[in-house]
Amino acid sequence: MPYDSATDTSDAALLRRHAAGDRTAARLLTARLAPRALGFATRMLGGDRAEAEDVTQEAMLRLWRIAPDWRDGGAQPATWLYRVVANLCTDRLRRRGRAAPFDEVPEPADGAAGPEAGLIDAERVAALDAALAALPARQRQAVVLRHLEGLSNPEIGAVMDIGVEAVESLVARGKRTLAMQLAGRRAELGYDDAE
Amino acid sequence: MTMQNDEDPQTPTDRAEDAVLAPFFAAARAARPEPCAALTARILADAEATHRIRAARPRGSTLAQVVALLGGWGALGGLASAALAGLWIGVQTPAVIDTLTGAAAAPEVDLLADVGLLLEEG
Repeated sequence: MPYDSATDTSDAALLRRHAAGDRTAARLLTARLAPRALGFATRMLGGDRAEAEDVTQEAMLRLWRIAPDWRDGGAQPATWLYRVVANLCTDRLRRRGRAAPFDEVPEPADGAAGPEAGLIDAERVAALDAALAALPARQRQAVVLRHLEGLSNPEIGAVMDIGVEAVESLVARGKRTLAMQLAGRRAELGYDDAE
Repeated sequence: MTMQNDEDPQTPTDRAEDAVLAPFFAAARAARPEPCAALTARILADAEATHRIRAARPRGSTLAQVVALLGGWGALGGLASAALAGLWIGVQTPAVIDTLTGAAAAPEVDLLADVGLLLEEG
């Protein structure tokens, strides 16, 4: 089937159409990519929605600026966007002095009376955010992209510019640390053995 | 991009960790934020602004912009030709120039034939 630029609705095609002045292409691309950027940024920034929105807007702005120079055969726009979001989040966390390494995170008090069972999911998400914040940045990126954004290991490798084995190692180490942090909080956060 | 959660090798430890983490991951996925209307509007406004700025800017490289200011490559061609002609004329011998201009065949005219009479009168 011959290539038809009018029916190609890939992200790269939409980016080229935006560069040519197609406003519909910009709306479609925003609908596709902004949620991904915002979801990733929110988890990378510990749930800070306002900062995540700033990062999302900045990342999309950079995408619009490079649209005329976009060439096929390289990274996908989504891959490129995830990478920009990761870098912007790293910069913001560095400025904040956030993301303490694992061994500086205090252990939960033994026998502490936790909240009642049936807590809303928001507090479970907050617990995950706190545990993610304790991970080294690269492990956090890999785990969030894998288990929250749903990327495959090769796709994560393209975002982080590393091989698949390196991705697997980062994910494995990150999950091990998260599991150690969160296992003790399952009862406190309303999970029973059946979940 | 695809959701592929089954490509990681699973040991008993992996499965135990997944069992601990699965509910937290599920809660986070369910709580995944969606862009609000205001954010979407800002992103689209940026798209429009970058396109307007690009459209207003002269197209092409700095060289192309200079050429455009001078009237295009056609005008530059005439300018280059004139410059080259001047250079060529400057390095030629007078005999060659006289031949080209027809001066070699032209009658010589003495415009100061009576200058001696003028000087004597003063």
